[in-house]
Amino acid sequence: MNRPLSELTAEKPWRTCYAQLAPKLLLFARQWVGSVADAEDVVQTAFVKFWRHQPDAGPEHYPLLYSAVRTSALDLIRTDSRRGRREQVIATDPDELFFDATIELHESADLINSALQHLAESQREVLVLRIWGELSFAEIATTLGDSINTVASRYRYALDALRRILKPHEYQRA
Amino acid sequence: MNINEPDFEDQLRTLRPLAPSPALEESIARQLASHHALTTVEARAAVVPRREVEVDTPSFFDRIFPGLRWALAGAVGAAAVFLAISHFQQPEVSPTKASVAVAEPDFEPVEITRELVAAEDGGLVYEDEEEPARVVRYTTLEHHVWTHPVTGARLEVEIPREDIVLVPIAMQ
Repeated sequence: MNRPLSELTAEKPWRTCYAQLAPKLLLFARQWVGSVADAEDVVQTAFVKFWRHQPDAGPEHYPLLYSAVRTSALDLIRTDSRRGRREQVIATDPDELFFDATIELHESADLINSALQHLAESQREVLVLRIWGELSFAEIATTLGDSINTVASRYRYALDALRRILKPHEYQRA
Repeated sequence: MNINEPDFEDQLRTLRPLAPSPALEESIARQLASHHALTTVEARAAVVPRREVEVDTPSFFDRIFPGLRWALAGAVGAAAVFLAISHFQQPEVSPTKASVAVAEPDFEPVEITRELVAAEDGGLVYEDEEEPARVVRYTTLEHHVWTHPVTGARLEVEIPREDIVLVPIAMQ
């Protein structure tokens, strides 16, 4: 009767999904909320909401989780009246890394953290979904409610802008 | 412009997103487990395709005609009093008959109809606890009819009404 929690939920499909997507969802959530704690709140809200509505969801439904995270993040911003200063909030937490970087990559991670914050929000979310979320353009388009062409175009711009920031000399040579 | 683009993408991909704290997974597990417990206790009701929400804000009717419901109740009461007085004013009313009049039923509802006047798309909303939903405003006209069983008096009232229905959007 009183089975431990881990036993009750260990076999649940959401565990597999969580293991696969949690870091990606967290990174995606941090495009809107500055702190890791807030981003985890957003991921938790979205994840619970999603699995309550779709307890039998399969991998083909996983891209919907990004939509749920996006909605939860925007709701959090709206609720906390942080909409006007969200960029500032991200900028005030420079020490909280977005990436799990080794010592060798720590500098790169720091640079990319910083560079991402200089991208337009619409470009940044596409870039994050594509590179680290590993979604296709079609899936990103569904997630964001835009056309595939729009999404692909934003991705190219984002990549270009990021390269300008990270590799200005190489860019000038090109 | 796009030289070495695949290389650049690969460079970005070498970075892995930061893993969440272990407490997050446990917290999610608890929430999902509590939800599962609740849903198994609850009766397995049929799936409702849409949710009709009771809006906390005053309805269209209340905003346009505040207090009209009370006025309507007052009018019904006044009609009942008027009928009672008219009975009392009859010249030869035996005590038995008067007591019967007092005990007689009041206006009784005989008909309630609801006519859809308009349906308006109110856009998308994002709720705290639910998935995105589309707001649909239904404007209807309620028609209430009462009759008095003794006198045959007929009372008709039309009430405009606005319902806001949230239709969940199935994300694909």
